[in-house]
Amino acid sequence: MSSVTPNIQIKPRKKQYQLLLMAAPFLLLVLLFSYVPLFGWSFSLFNYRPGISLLESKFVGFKYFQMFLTDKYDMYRVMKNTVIFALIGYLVSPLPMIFAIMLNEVKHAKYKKAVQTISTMPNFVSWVIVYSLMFTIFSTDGVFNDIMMNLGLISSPTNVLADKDAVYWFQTLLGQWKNLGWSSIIYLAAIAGIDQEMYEAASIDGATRFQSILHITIPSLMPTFIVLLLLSIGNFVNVGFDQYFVFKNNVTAANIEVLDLYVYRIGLMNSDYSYGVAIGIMKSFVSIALLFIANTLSKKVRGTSIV
Amino acid sequence: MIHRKTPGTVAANVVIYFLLGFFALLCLYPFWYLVIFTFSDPGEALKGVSFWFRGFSFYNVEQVLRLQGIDRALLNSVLRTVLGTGITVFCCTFLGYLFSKQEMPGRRFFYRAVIITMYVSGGLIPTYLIYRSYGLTNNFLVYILPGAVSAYNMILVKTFVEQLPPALEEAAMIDGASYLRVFFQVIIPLSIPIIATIAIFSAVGQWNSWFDNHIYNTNSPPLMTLQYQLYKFLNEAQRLAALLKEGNIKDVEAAVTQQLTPKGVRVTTTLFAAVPIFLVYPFMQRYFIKGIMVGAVKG
Amino acid sequence: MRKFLSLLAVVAMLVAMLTGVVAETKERETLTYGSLLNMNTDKPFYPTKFIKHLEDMIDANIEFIQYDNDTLKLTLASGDMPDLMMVNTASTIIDGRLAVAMDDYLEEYGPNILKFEKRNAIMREFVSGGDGKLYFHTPSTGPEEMTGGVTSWNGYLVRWDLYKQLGAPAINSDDEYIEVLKKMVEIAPKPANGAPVYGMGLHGSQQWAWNIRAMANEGYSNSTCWAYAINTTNTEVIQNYMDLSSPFWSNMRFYYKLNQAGLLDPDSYTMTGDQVGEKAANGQYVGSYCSWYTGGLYDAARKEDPNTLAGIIAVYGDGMSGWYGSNHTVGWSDKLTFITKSCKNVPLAVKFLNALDSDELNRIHYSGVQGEEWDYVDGVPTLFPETVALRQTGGEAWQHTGINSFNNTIGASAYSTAEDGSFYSLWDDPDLKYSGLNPLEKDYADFYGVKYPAQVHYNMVQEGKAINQAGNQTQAVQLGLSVRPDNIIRIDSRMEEIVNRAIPTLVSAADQDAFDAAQASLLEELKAAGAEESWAWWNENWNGTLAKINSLE
Repeated sequence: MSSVTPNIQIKPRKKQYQLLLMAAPFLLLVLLFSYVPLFGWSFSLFNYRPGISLLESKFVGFKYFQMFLTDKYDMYRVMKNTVIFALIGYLVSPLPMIFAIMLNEVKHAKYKKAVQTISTMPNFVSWVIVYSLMFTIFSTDGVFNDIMMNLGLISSPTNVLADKDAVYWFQTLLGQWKNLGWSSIIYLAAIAGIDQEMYEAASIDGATRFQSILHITIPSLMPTFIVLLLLSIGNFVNVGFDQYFVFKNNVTAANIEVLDLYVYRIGLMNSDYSYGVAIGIMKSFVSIALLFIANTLSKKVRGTSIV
Repeated sequence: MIHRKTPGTVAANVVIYFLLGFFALLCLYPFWYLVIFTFSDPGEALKGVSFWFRGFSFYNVEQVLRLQGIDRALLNSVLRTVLGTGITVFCCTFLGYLFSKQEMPGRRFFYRAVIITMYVSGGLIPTYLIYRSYGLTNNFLVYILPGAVSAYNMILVKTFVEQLPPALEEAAMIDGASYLRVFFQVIIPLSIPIIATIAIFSAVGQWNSWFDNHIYNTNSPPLMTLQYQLYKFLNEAQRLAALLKEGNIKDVEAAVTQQLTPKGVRVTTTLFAAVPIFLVYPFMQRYFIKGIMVGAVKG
Repeated sequence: MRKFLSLLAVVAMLVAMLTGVVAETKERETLTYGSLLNMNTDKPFYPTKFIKHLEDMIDANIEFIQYDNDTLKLTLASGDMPDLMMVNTASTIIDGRLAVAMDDYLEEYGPNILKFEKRNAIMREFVSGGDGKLYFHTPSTGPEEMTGGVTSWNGYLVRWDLYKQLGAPAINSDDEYIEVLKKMVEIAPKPANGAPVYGMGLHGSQQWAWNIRAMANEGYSNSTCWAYAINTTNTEVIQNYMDLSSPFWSNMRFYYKLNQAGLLDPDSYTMTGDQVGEKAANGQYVGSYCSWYTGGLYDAARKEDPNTLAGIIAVYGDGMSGWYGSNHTVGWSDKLTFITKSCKNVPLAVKFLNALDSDELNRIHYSGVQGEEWDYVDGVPTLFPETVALRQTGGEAWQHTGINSFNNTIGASAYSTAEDGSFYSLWDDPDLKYSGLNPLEKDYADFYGVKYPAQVHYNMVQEGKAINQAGNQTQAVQLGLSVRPDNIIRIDSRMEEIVNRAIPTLVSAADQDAFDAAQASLLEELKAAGAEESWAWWNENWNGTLAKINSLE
């Protein structure tokens, strides 16, 4: 990255400012659509209710921030769940890359394309419908139990959807099933960008296929992998709302409730707008802080950084 | 690539083929479920559908096609997908390229400023008020402009461009080519895989999005998109769940007994919304699944 | 390049098409009305005859806007409101001064509104911000269902063919009900796919399902949260969680025993309403907690045999409550319509509300148009046989009449008395009800010697052997109840979540000792979450408001 492009010549200053000038319209869009609305952060300091203007709302200072930070009741459990889901998420994060590499090893073009297309399909079915599918399969009189009972693997039906202890791995599996094919696209593109001559050269040198993967493919995919990993580290406070929302029930509630779900539950009860904004602001700060910490670490360990 | 066929590679091949095929089979199921539910007899489907059709009927399809404004919604969805994707792909590719230039003044600051947008939001109401003051309510452009510069896609492009062999660009630069010329003549041809990737990401994003329609154009039936129609169906079920939570008996009764939108129609609309993507997909696929030859560009 | 240009031209044309405004000359003014309700304006049968009459009465068009919670908030926040709006609670509207008082217009444009004196008086007292003016309009003021409807959704719900096979034993307690369910399961036919049969299964991820059975049967209703239950005979509030005689605990004991007997579908924690319906249609349940979710059984069975008796229907025990008979003095108080500050023509908006309260429109809403759907026979308004037939056929032709389609908005209740001395709804005639019964209901009615199934309960009420909701003033109290303070809301929602998680432990407890232990630890946990503090607020505020309303009467 920073080390890749050696400055062969020092470019004239004027030309450098051209770069900024060309970027300006896009930066303006970012300013207008992403930064101007941040004036809304001020809502967190008032007891705002939609319909009553901010000027007439009661100023409460940092009350909502305090309320959130001192809410010991569910916070420990909710944060624990969030962290567990996030950690498992990082653990399985190389899967799309591995999937892409395996797909790339398939030499039969039609098979390759078919598998690639089909594997993206679950991405297009909403979680609500996925839930009714999963129920069809995993309910006590569903297909899964039928098969397991017939094979004699279990003696009485189980319902994994109502299994508190299975929540973490089951939800992770589901998430992977739904998103793996889709997330692998980016790695397929990166593989496509690798200079084919490198493989030819390696092959002539007598490298096996496995060696080629190890020494050419994986190193070439690493920058993409690291970038995505860093971005997802920044995002850990926002894990999978839609998915956990539909799979939450009275049995799984204790383990499946992540931060966003909790905020939704509290917010829905109170329809407390300002409180929601305050939580959003804190989440933003945590995300950005994590991103930069991860970035610094990556710089130290690998010598590369992304932001 | 020439590889010797050792027993090891054959075994590896078998394992890979089998694993991928098995996974594909698992992934096919939801789509298959949509198909069998859609074409099952709606009365029979009441008892639940699992692997095969229960009766056969076009009833659900007819119901969906009869919905008022569904043709207009389809047109809007196609338009926003085509226009939105074109614009965002250009913006992200170009900006990603510019940010890959070390010599850009203030590069670090601006790049970070764009990345941070991924993690911050002003909140629903302030954002609405601001967009409204821009005149973007009841306006088609709200589907396109706010998402034109997507930080995520831009980062992908930048990462990809930085990966490219620097020699080509340097050669062009020494020849005195401007940034613009390098971008169009060197960077774009080399970046086809990543461009195809962000194109498919943003096309699907555009095609699937309903929230902007819901928030900004909810009062403009002519601007309704297909996904919003679908969302309204799915949301009815969720709204029902919310009613159950609040427990207002008379609303619940009305909601349950008037049947809302039957599950058949919900499932059919989901199928309708997914099929166009799979029609277009294979055309995009070849750009990111097949390697490009850097040598070919070197020419 | 040429290709690109032509593409650009096409795109430009399409954009022009999309943004182009349809120029349409309207001679009538348009009144806009936003609410959370689905008015079905996108359906082929819209506008209904009812809506057309309403528009003619005020000589203006009505345009309905449907919000959800998000868009409603945005509309209020931007101040860009339609002429009229409906909201669930009044406080923001009053504090933000978003409504226009009707008082100056009532004499000229709202004589019908003034006729609802009691409703208006309570509204002036509770939702005027203290200035005593009239800002809101509610729907369905007056007596609700007086004679029980046709069938009941609550009661001891049984599969009728099996229940008859057992000799229709009397059921007077939950324990006897479980016995009957057990016997029915034993003789129930196996579903075609070999799936097991249970007493019942719930869509149990919400508390609604776990609460509703005993709540309805024992004469309670719910308020804004499940932590409290309202006695529907005297409108007093009790603690649903902390009081062991509450409907919640009655339900927990019932479902625990049901589970012990192996009669509760183990999927009850994970099902949604759809899935309960699917299993019911598949013949897997012989009972139910609420008949709406299990109607699929009869629908499916009837396709194979039109005269089948395989359907779930309510039988009644002594002392059981029926969900009918309330007289809502303030109408449905969570459906508050007001004229907004942005209203372009306030007199017209008042005229609209006035029409909703008119004798003519209420009759049209509940029974149709005179001379088209009904007419006077010997001075008594009577429905035409064709109207009765049309309702039985159902479908779009029926929906196009718009009868009963505006319940959440129309001013008076179905059982309010019209100027001609009859109810607005002409459907209450027992013989008429009898002629509309399906074979299952008819068999039931004949078996008990009544004209319609719910008449069994109605008769019990007349004999003093059962109760209904007469004396229920929940709607009025809810209107007057002040907004819960933040900390109380927080406690209530916390308690609800604690209970949510405790339900599976209670219901699937291994034995009575385990149940008792789970019960004790739940009560302990609720106490720690602030149950006493919340109860103090509810007790004081609810009963205080009730006393105030009684003093206004």
